[in-house]
Amino acid sequence: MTKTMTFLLASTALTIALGATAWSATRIMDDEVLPTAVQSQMDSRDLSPLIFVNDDDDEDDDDEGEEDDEEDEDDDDDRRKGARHEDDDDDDCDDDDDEACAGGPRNPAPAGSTAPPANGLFGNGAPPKAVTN
Amino acid sequence: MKSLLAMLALTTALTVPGLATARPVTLTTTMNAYGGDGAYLALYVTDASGAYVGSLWMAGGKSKFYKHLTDWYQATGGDPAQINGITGASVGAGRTLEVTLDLADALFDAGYTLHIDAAVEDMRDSPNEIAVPLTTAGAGASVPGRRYIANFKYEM
Repeated sequence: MTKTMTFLLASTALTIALGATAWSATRIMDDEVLPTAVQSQMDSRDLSPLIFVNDDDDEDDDDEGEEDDEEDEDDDDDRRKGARHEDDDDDDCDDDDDEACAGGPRNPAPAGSTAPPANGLFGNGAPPKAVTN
Repeated sequence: MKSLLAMLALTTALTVPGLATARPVTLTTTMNAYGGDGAYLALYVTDASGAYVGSLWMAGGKSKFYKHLTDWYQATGGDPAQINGITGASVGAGRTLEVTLDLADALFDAGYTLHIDAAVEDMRDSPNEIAVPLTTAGAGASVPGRRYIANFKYEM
């Protein structure tokens, strides 16, 4: 009888321990109450400052003139503030794009691929030749 | 026999002016060491009243940059048809571009002026950097530029 009582008490204690753990976990999910370490990590995600590791704006703004120098200073300020740097290039196209902009004129035909325009300046002799030294 | 001679004389008379109306002309443009990317150059001609007549050469193949060749763009609207077949690569700093064209004789000593607009990426535009009257007497004479072009001359 004593052995039976001991066994029942041990199993009850084990059940209570497991049940309490499971119940407390369920409460955390319902109430979104997080442990302290997790809570601090989650709370800090909106407060952390933006850090630009790499500025992919490769434009060299070192133009001549005072006005351009002032623009450079403004650009630097923007970077320090962490603001997204606007593209100073008034050209909407990507400089690396070999094609003409959408909706813009096409690139002209290179020399040798077609006859010069009939503007009255050219004769009918040899095609244009260009050499760069 | 007489009719054959007459026909030969007629064909010769028609052919010779055709051969004489154009000649090869070399346009030589030497760039300064301005310390930038390759320069876009527009070589074009205006008549005695200053009206645009036509283009002779375009150095630089991307039409999206042509708006920086201010005067040429204003005259043509950047129309690529103006420079089809007469477009080559841009010209680097310190380099010399030599373009040989078959040009009409009527261009010379008739009040026409050859202009060059220049532009370099991220640097100031330089419209009408060269303006030189097209005369037979002026052939071979070097004309200095203002910003990117060291000098220009045409020879025939």
